[in-house]
Amino acid sequence: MKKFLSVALCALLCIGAAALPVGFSACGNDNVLVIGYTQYAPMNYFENGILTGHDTELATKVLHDELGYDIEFQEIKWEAKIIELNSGRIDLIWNGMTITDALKESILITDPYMVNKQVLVTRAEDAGNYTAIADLAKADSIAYESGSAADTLISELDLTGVKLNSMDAQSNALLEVKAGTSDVAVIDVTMAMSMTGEGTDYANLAYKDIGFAEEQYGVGLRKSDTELCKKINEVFAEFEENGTMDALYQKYMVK
Amino acid sequence: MFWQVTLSLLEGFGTTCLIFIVTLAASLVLGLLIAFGTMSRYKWLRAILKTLIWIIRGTPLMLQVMVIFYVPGLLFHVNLFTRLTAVFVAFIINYSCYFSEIYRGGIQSISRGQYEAGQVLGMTRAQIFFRVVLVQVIKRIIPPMSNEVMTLVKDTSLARVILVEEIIKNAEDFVMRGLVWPLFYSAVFYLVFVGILTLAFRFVEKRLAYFKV
Repeated sequence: MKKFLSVALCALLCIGAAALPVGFSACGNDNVLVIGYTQYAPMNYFENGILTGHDTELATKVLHDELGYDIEFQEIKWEAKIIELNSGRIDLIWNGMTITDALKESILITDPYMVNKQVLVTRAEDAGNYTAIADLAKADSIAYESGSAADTLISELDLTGVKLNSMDAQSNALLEVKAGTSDVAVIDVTMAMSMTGEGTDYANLAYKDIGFAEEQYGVGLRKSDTELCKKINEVFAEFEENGTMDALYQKYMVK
Repeated sequence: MFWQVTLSLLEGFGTTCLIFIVTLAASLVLGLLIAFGTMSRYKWLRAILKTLIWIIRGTPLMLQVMVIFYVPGLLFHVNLFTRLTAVFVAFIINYSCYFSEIYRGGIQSISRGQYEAGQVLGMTRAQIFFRVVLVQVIKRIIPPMSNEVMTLVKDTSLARVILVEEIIKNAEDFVMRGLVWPLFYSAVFYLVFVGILTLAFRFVEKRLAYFKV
């Protein structure tokens, strides 16, 4: 009995190991470009069950309308974006990604298509306490998204004694401030504009420019995809010229 | 709004239940096979399986899910599994290993005399195992099994690390859009599910009390 079972077990393991690659290699279509995004207003977000937003529309215009690719949007975890890209699960990162030198080392990034800034978010009544970057040291705790541009900026500051809460999403950084578990959050101005203030669930929060430098958004690709990167850059240049880029900015960013 | 949230969470909860059922069904069987393997007379088979169990029990399930999903693509540029399949594979392997140790404990707790009694009655080894040993094993392993099964219900929330849309993922989407309470509301679904399981296990334990002397 035991002998039979152990033989059966071995056979099962062997068959399983052999069959899996065959069974699943059929998945995944190479002719489709998969765009990785996180839900993040106003870049990529759902409205009445349909994915929309600045980057959703821009990516569709560039890749589908101009370059003729079939595209598919795949939600990802932001901190896993490089792994998703380099393992071939997605082909592009297009989600308000700030261009940094560190990112350029591991992936290819297109020319910038938008300018962004990091701002401070805090409860409206505390907003007066923070006017300059140095004032961050006054806070007891700061929340920000791990691996984000804010993360990089904060790690360069001398904030001894301040508790740094590195969250897995910018929205969770906002949640921290709302719940009072962090004093301030540092997030993208594009997000702060659309998520805080009157008429939002974060109505008691306010955002403030405390003088962080401007940064630029770019699209991420695998280092081997230089051809596609070139094509996207050409369309970007064209869109800057004919006003498409500005029209999109007006549509999603300006309220 | 409440209905909309409930519907969305229910949709996610469907995936949660799917992961739960597939994992439970497959690992109950695979776990028993692995348990036999770890008690096999072949040293090499025992060594392989003990190492496997050590690795699986020694690393976080979250990491195992990510390894199974991403590593084939990173190393060999092939994508073996879809997101949901990767979760199934990782969960089944993980839970089989835990179950196998519970099975082994149960099987080895049955006294030698039970086997001998079976032999005296002229039963074959298969008959002894299925008609004498296994029925007693099942009864003994119900409490530790119910622990693992309830842990499984909640572990399904780990599937969201590779963006499988289970209930917590859907709840977090609401948080991202600025609505906070759905995240805490999702606890109700888990509580109800585990509550039902608790009653089911209580019932099964009662039904299996027939060996009591």
